Amino acid sequence: MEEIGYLMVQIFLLLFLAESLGMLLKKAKIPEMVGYILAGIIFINLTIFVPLSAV
Amino acid sequence: MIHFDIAEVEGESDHFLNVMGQVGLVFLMFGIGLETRLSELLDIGRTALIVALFSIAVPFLGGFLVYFLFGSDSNTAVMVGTALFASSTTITVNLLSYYQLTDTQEGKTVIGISIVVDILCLILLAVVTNLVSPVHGHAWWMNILIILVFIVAVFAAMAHLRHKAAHRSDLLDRFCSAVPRPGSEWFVLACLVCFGLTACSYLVGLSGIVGAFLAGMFFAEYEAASRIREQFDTLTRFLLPFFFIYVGLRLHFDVMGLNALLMAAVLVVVALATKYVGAYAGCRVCRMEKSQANFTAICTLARGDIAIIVATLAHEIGLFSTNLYAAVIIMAVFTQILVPIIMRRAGIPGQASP
Repeated sequence: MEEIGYLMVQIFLLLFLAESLGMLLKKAKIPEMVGYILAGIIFINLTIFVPLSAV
Repeated sequence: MIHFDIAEVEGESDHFLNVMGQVGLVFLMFGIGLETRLSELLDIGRTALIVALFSIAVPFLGGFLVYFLFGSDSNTAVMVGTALFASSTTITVNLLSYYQLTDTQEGKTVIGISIVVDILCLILLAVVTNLVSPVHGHAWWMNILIILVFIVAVFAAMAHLRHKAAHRSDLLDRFCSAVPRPGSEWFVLACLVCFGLTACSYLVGLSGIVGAFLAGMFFAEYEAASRIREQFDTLTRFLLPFFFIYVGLRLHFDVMGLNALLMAAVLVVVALATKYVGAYAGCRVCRMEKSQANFTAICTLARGDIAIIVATLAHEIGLFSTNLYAAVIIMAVFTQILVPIIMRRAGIPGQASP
């Protein structure tokens, strides 16, 4: 897959995780933005992705 | 050069996620500006200035004293104080918007205060960084002069447009009457003014969101404001999450030690306590009721971009260790997570009056 393809997959997964967490927290009456921040923290610390340069 | 790699965001302020988030912020602040008339901002000008001064002075002294008493040199303590004094207008406005409080009297007061705090913070940042490190911003007094001239010029233009709007004879009104169904023409015009003033704001050394807010205020006097708002809302909804995701992506635990976490814990407590005390005291000096003072103080607790900018600058010039740098980033992120929870605990969503 080309670099742009990997980028699209990353954006899709990142947005999916962020929106899912945002919706979960919204149900708990906590603003979605907290979910977005948590998604970023989870994403970067689980090292789901390797740098594009290493692909 | 814009960076695209999600796995490598640390230290990349020009990362594409940040760029998209920043554009979302610009649209958000433009939308808030659309709901704020010049007269409303002038009405709360004195209150906003007093509350802003208190809510800057107390956190600065708190941060300075804590680090100075723990044995840091005075320059490091000054930078810690500087990182603590700036509120996050973005978080404040976003939370008010989430709880549908931007139209309330209390909400408008908080937004006015946040804007004044933002402007004062950026002016003070220019002074402090010059005092600590003369290499950065050696002509700081010139920067301050340019910022003041810019703000006065924008408000004068706005007052002129407002006067013209009363007589319905200016260029925008003629444009409005020439377009029977305001649609994309208004949107394009609004985008041009929004990005134009945001760019000018950056050029004079202010935060871009101040320019976007002022651009929104330009259109607030016109009937088309609500339609423009609807068009911007969709874009804001899509772009804004990227800003918050990027905030989270900065917290990579691998580069943080236990010391950083302890420092962060101290900073979070000092940041929340001093900002609350400062803003509450300022509100009470302005004879606000206790409930409104509490509302205002809680809404201004979050820290954000400026704290991160100060930490990065101090780290670059060797004043902050890696642990202290990480601690300030954690503090900025965690206050953003904690404030919505504190607001809910304090029952803020149900307090404001229409």
